[in-house]
Amino acid sequence: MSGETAITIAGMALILYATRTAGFWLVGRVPALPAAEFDQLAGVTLVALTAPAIVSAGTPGLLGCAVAAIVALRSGNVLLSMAAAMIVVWVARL
Amino acid sequence: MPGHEEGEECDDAPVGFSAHGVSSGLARALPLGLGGAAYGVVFGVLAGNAHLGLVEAVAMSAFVYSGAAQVAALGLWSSHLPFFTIWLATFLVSVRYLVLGASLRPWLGRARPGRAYGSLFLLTDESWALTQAELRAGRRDAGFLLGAGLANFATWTGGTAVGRILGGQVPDPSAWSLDVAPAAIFVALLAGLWRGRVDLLPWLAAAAIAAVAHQAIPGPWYVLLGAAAGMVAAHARGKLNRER
Repeated sequence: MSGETAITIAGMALILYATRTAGFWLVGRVPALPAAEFDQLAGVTLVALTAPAIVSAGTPGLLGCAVAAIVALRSGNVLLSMAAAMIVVWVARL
Repeated sequence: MPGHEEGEECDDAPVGFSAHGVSSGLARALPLGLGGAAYGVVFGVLAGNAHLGLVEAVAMSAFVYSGAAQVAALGLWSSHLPFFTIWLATFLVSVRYLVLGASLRPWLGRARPGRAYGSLFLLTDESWALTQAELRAGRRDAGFLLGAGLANFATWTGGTAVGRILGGQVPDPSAWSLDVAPAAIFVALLAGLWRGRVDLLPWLAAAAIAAVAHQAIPGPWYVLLGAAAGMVAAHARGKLNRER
C-alpha cells in the first residue's frame, strides 16, 4: 500500500470514529442536548433513513416494503420480513 | 462479568455487557447481513475499478467501515489523492452518526466507557436499528450492539474481498432483489418501534422532510433534516399536551 493511500484511509478512519463517538460523548455535556425526548430520536431517525429509500425503490419496492411491514407486524420476525419483501420485488420485476 | 439478566431491571440499573448479549447480536444480525454482504461485494468491484489493491480495499472496509463514506471516497480517487476533499466528503456523509451515537447515550452511557467506546467503532445504521428494536423489546444487554456490529463487520469486509477478487464477474445485486433488502429491514424494524398514535406526527414530519431533502439536497443531509423535523414535531406535540 502506498503512503498516500495509507494516510488517506487512516484519516477517513479517524473521521468515522470521531463521528461515531462524538454524539454519544456530547450528550449530557452540552446543555442544549436534553435527554427528555430522546425516546423519540431513535424512531424519527430510522424514519428519516428509510423514507427516501422507499420512495426511490419505485412501485415494486413500495409493494415489497408494504409486505415487509405487514409481515413484521404479524410475526415480529425481521428476517422473514426481508425475505418476503425480496420475493415480492423479484416477482414484481419479472 | 455482570449477567445479562441485570439489564431488565429499572431504567437506572447499570447495563450488563455479557457474552450472551454479544452472541445474540451476532445471531440476529448475521442472517440479515445478506444485503450488507452484497453491497460489500459491489464496493469491492468499484474499488478494483478505481485501481485499489485487495489489501487497500479490505483495509478501507475494515478501518473506515462505512459504505457511504467509502463510495464517496472512490468517486474522488485519483493518482494524486486529494486528501482534504476526500476527508471533507467523508465527514459530510458521516454526520448522521452524531445523531445515532447521541440516541444511544441513555442506555450505552451506563456501560463501562471502554466497552461503550469500543462498541461504537462498529456502529452502523443496521446495528443501531437492531439495537433500538432490542431495547424496545426490554432487553438491555450492551453486548448486543457489539455483536450486531461484528456480524456487519464480517459481511462487509468479507464481501469487499470477494468483490475485489472476482471483479467484473459479479452479477448485479438487483437481479436477486438484494437491493431492496436494506429498505425492507428498516421497514420491518420500524414496525417494531411503532408505539401508536404518539409516534404518528413525529414520524410523518420526519418522513416528509427526509423525502423532500433527499430530492433537493445532494448528500446525506436528509437524515439529519428528517430527524430534526421529527424531533421538532415531537417537542411541539409534547408541549401542546402539557398545556392542556
